[in-house]
Amino acid sequence: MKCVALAVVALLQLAVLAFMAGEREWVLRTGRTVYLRTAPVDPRDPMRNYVALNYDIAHVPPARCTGGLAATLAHTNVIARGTPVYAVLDTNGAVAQLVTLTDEHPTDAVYIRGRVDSHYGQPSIDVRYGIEAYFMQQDKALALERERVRDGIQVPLEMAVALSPRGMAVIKGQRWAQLGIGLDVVPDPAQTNRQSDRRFVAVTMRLMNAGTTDVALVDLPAGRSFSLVPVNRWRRGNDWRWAGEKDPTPAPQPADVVLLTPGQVLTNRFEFSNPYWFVVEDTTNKVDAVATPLSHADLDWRAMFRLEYRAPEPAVCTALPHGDVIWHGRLASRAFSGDGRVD
Amino acid sequence: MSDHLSWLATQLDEWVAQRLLSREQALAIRKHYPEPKAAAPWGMIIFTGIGAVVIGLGVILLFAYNWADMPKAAKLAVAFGALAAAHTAGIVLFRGADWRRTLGDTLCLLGTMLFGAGIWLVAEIYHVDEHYPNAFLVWCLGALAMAWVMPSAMQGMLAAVLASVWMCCETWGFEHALTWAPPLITLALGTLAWRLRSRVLLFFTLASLMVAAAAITDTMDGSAVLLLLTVAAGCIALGTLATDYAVFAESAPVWGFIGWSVLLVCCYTLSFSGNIRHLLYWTATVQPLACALYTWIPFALTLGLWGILAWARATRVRPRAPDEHALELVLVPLAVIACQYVTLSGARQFETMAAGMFNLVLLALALAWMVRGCRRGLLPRTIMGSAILAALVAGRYFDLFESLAARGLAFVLVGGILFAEGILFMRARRRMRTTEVAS
Repeated sequence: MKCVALAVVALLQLAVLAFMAGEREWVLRTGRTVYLRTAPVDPRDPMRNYVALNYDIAHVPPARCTGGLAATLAHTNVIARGTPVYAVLDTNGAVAQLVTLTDEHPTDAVYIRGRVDSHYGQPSIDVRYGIEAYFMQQDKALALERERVRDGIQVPLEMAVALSPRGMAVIKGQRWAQLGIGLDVVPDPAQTNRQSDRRFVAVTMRLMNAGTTDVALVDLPAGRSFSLVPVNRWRRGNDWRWAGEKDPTPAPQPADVVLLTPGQVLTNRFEFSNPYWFVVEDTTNKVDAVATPLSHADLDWRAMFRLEYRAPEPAVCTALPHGDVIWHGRLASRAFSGDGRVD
Repeated sequence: MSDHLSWLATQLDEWVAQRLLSREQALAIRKHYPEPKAAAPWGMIIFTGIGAVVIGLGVILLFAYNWADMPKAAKLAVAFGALAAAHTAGIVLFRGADWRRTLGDTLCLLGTMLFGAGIWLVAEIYHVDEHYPNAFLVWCLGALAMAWVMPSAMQGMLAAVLASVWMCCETWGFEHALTWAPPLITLALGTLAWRLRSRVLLFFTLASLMVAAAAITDTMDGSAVLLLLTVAAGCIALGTLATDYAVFAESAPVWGFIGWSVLLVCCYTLSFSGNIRHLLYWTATVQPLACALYTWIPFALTLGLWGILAWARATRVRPRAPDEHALELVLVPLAVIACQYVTLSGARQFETMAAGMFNLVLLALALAWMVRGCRRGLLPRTIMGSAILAALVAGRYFDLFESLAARGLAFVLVGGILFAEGILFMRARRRMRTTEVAS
């Protein structure tokens, strides 16, 4: 009798493993595949070899929250760690984009199930979806990390993820994004070697066709295809915003379309003395805030920005040359600060 | 043959040769001490147990390399096959007797280690990065089920370690105060330790309880030191009661060791006035009801146990020396009550007074043990008392005696006490030896 009971417990242990593997195998074989953009970071774990994945959809602005989350944010501004959430995705593009984050079970939508990782009143809510580790053999993980940066240009990793109808996500594979982005700070020639005097006057942006086929970009005059996005990483966030964020973007013209062959790079230089790129302090108690150049504004050390390439909507690109290969979506550079520090 | 029997056999041969005993008498004495049953030696149990755990950890690390050329199906087959093979061999051997049973127990332990390795391996194969404490919980439940069905102390010890890792990960990593978990785990493992009369399993269970309960209390903004001190006092009382009432009496050293170690460390920590403010706080901002229960239930149980102990001493359940436990009966509950009062009343503002009280408790214990040790020639008690006194003086060296002369005087005084204690202890031992010879 005891042996039977022992055998039952041993079989239960096997069944637990079989259920873990079987459930995920089922999702891999029958689930819907979407691509999610991420940046890989090798954590050098002494016990395991994996690449930590930092998904774009893992950092959600409160404005994207709906349902009970929005109500909680309105009342307490704090969402408890571990709160179950559902990220509703727009899967029309090459890479899935976050539409809303909610705590209510969505119907008739593609979504991923996750849990709030941390939010104590920060300007963004960090969410974990259980797919943040990509286990690889050690040398392959390091190779992946190295391959991410090509001649100083960072190429995002796009993870293929299988989704079950109930929102369970299982990593299926990966591919490199078709477009890579690089950022170089141009220092002020008048600056001294002192740390406090560090200033920069411009940045150089490089967009590279990292794929194997041609890709077209819409490069509006005077850098209007790009936006200056504040980085809200720290608890207090960034009190500075781009003064021109509400300026309308001009409609793209045929002459704005640039075709990049594989490996070809499009370079743009952004002068921060140009009033178009001025920043302004975004505090409620300062009604007379004055727009100032990013490089000369009295910025807090946490105040960082990214330059983000924003492609026009697919609908306005159909009439443009190379409309079939025009890249759609958004691509952000590394973060940089007023004194020229780059993340 | 054990060392004692081997020594006895040699001595009997010598005594027969010296004609101190006849051959028949020697044979009768030899028969009086039979060979123990052919059970597996402890060495085998310890080494095979450690071996099983190390092999399991090795397998986890080996798979963690994540062999890229190894197909997914092959990795799963290895994980499932190894688990099935270890358990099958373990169960077959466990049906036998003697060393086979022990080896079967060890192989099943290896199987449970491979079960844990399998959880991590499946997570690696499918790139799962979900709430990782759940893996420890599932692994712990697997070990606990095995421990109860076999029953096996080794599986129980593994379950105790995994349970504390799980609870600490939830608490420190995710601020989840799983208040229901420590009592349940203690019940599950404590009753198993009772059933098996296993002191080692009891030790692991108590250690697991202490670590997890302290972590959980701290997360709820209660006082972990207060809880530890209270539970430790309860353990001391239980150990003494186990001896008095001869119920699982062999567990008494475990209760005593855990109880006194934790209690002395807590009292010593609280003997520094600066620690009172930081360690004896109680705001209970998280789960206030659970935090209150975590504070008051152990307090009530501990005082109840010390009450029973006092009653047992008054009714002389078991004959004892007049001074045995006399001072502890007052000092330990006093320390618990004082700790509870200072924590909950907010009287920690009088930190110097509170710290002074813990200093006095330690000093009284040290002197009582030194005197008792010297009077009865008990070396461990004498050493413990001296160590506490030395630690107390070393602690006060920095925060009390500002003058170098006072520091010097304190050291001379303690040195003198220890010197006198050595002489008194030697005399006591000599007196005992004389009495033994005379009787």
